[in-house]
Amino acid sequence: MIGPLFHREYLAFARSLGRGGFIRLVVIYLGLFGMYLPSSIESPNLALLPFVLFPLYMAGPVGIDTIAGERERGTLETLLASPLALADLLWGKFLFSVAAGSVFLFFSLVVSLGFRTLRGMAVAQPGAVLVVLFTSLVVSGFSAVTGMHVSVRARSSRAAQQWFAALSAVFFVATGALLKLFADKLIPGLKGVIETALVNGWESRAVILFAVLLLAVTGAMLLWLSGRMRVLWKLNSFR
Amino acid sequence: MGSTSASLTNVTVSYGPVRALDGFDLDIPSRGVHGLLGRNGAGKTTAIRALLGLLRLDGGTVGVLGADPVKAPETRRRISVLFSEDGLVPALTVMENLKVWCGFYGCGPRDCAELARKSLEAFGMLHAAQKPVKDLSTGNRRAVAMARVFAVPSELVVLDEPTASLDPVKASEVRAMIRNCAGDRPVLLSTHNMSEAESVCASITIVHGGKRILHGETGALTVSPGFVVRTTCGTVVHGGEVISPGPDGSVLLESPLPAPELLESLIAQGNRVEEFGRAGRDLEDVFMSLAREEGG
Repeated sequence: MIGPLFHREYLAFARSLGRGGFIRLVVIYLGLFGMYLPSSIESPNLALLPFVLFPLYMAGPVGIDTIAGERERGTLETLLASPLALADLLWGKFLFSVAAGSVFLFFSLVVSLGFRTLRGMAVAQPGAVLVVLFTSLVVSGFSAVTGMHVSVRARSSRAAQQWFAALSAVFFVATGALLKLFADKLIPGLKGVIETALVNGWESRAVILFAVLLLAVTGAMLLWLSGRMRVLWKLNSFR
Repeated sequence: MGSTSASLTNVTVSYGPVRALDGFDLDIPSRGVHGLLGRNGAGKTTAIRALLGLLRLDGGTVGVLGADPVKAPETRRRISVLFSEDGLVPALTVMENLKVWCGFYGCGPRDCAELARKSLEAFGMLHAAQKPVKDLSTGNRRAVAMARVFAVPSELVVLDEPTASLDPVKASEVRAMIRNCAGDRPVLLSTHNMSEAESVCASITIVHGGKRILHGETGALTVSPGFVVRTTCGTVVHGGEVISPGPDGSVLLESPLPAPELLESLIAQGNRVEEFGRAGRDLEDVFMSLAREEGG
């Protein structure tokens, strides 16, 4: 049952953007991430960094719109009354948010690799690109599930967006500060490994470990969200 | 009222400290349109949510088409619902909205297109199939929402105030649509519009303060125990009393006698009867008198 819901989300997303909006998005993404940034960063591994960080800002707002936006448009209750199971609803919306948040970045990544090759700049190893793709997908998932969590209880779509922006800022700052303060205390040499990963190789164990840990956190948050939606549904307050 | 397609039995639902349904009973016959009537906040929408298994019940049981929708959510595949908000995705076209909805009911892409087309045709909205829903007028949106509800192969249709916010002409059209489409499956129509219920519903349940205060066939409920009598001289002699006519020239008599016997008795008492028949009362009179009794 996820298929029809995914299709519905896609149609709503595409129609809301419109042809003009779609072209503007493509120009911004491909211009910024596919051409400008890759050509201004010399290190091929460092040039992949935006593709890991920026999904955080892409999938979350889509996730918010699929719940808080739906509620504001008065369509959520009809969805809940449809034959869709609550789990289908959750997974359909989550997977669409991840896909919508990742697809432009993936195209930009491909363009950036081609662009660097054309300009005669060094290109990251295929293994590093694969790790970045995986990590980018995981960050998208984390962002989407965070957006959905926030929007389940937010009073409006706007309130959910504000909460999400604040949480994203906290995530960035806290992650940086924690790494700076405790990285070497937690795992001796971790700080050095991260720095090396950015400069010398994304295939390093530290990066893969980070991605896997984030994947586990995302999975736990999905389970939590599923339980929370069930509880709210039973308390007659999820609609 | 014959066999039932769905029922709520002694259902109690609370939203925090507020008791929305209090031992409420509802029996939806397996044919025709059944009206769920009540004032705003009486518990109509809560009853619908309970029927769909969307609520945690504090007590009571729900049965829909032989299953419990709380324990078996797949029962919702056999029900199609229109809430007071139409539930259409504004950015999608009319046709896309219907096809997506049919997809939720397990129909394949070709079936979805065919079901959507047929239903839009039945509701006179096929001409707008490729228009985005956001570009439609309120009345046309409601017609499309009705087409969505009746497009899927459900066995029970639930309509929550489908004519709210419509002008009288569109409301009348929607009522005609409900009457036309209710032939093949039972419909639960929730409304606070008494004349609408009277014109559309074969049977009704009136909810007040979360409780059922009346249910039965509409025709039987709107029949008064009284009789209207008009004589050549205006006054009516009955049981030794001379009763003066009302402003319309007729006399309203209440009698336990069957109509033929009462008419014979009136003639025997010397009345020259010009007109004789059962007095009618509309559903609004019934509802208002019940509301007064219940302290509403």
